[in-house]
Amino acid sequence: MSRGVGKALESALKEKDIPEKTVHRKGIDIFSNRCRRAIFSELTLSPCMNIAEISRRTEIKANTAGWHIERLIKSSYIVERRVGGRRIYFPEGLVPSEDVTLFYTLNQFPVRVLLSLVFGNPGNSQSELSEKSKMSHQSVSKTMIYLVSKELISSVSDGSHIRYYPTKLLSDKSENFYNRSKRYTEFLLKKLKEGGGREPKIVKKSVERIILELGPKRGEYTMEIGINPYMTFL
Amino acid sequence: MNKIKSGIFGLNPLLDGGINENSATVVIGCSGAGKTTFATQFIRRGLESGQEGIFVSLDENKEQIIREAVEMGWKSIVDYIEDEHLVFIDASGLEFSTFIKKELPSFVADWKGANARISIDPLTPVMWAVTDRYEQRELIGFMLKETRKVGTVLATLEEHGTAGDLSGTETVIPMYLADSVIHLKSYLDSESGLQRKLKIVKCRNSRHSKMEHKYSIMKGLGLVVNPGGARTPPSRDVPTQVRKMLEENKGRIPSSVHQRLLEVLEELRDEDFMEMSPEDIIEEIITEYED
Repeated sequence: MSRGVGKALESALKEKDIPEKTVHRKGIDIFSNRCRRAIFSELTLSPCMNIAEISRRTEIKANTAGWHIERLIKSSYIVERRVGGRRIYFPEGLVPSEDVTLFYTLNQFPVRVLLSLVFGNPGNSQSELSEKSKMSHQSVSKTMIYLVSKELISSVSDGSHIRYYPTKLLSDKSENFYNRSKRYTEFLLKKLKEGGGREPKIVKKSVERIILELGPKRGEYTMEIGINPYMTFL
Repeated sequence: MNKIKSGIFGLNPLLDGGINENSATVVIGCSGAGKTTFATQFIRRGLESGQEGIFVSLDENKEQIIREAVEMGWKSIVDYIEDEHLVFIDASGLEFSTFIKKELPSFVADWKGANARISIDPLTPVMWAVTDRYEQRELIGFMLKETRKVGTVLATLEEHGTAGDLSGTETVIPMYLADSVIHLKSYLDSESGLQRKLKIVKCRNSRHSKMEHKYSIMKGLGLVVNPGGARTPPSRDVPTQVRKMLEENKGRIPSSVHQRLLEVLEELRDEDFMEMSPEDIIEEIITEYED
């Protein structure tokens, strides 16, 4: 039995910076900045990314992205969590706690590429995946073993090759997410409304995303919000 | 399911042997019902078995809890603290909830499998740290799920409003999310004075008592529960008879079903069959499988 867990917990609680009382900035103000809209939008579609990945996808410099992320955290639109020693970010209220690590994994480059190939071309062999992804056999093999262990894909041997197929894990999670999507949409609209100004308006809605119209004058800017992040990876 | 002793005299038989290891138990009660004493006894029993103890106090201060523990006859509590086998943590609800949101996963990653006993007394300020009910559920659910990986958790919960009414949001959310729920009822009766009764509302994967049991708080012993008839060995006449009749009718049901039923019967007691006779049960089984 490892000892010292009590002292470690005590230290963790003492050392932690207690944030000043949560700042609920005006919802309209916080998203008046284009960079913040882009970051938040990207995180709703692909939650649980680190700053480097957010910076790459939004084409906003990492330092700038970090500053905007800090403001979004202070306004309680996104939360930070540590996974494997890295700080990752996701929208508050959108991601089930138990799937934070799953989304972090899904956003990793080899996983994202190979999973996309398996979903697009079920039955591909390791060699075919290696050729299409331009990744080494070793990298593909390592990633595929990992994805099988996480039940994201299944492997079937046809005698000479091992072929990979998508499992129902993500689609099941996506289907079961409907109520949460609804709740998150209500939560976000309420939060934006509480910020004052004009009420945000949904101008377009699908099962996986909504487009909101925001701004002091209606229609000043729009923001795309993912409401079912599992669908991004299907 | 591995059971660990609760530390409360008379409670283990009511919980089918004790508290489930690596589970989360919520103890609900009004002021003065003995929640903190319960949590202290739970920690003490773990220390006696060589487990580490963590007492997260979100209300009373450390000195007060230690003083009361000593008054209850637990003088060696000071030695456990000095040896760092028992750690008291004073925190506010906001501090602890922030810790849960931001630091708990990495903490759990480091200390998974530590097999400690953790008391959180009371859980109520953590609930109040967030106002949105949805967030409350997320926060408590996440906390219980993660802390279970580090050890066995016991959280106390204040009972507000009408005594015995557990339908309020603040009690319903943790009750749904916990593996076990124990309700400490303490009330004044106009004729018989102070009454204390304990009821196990739920205990997952266990054949727990469904009755109310009187308990008292004794100086030097803490909470002591009167298990009543719960100590009586259960009768197994009906499953034994059904087993015998199953053997006699072996050819009338599929062999795989026959084997499964024999295994299931090992775990059953007379009370599980309600008022059904062995003949009724066998007839229903055969009817189900015979064309």
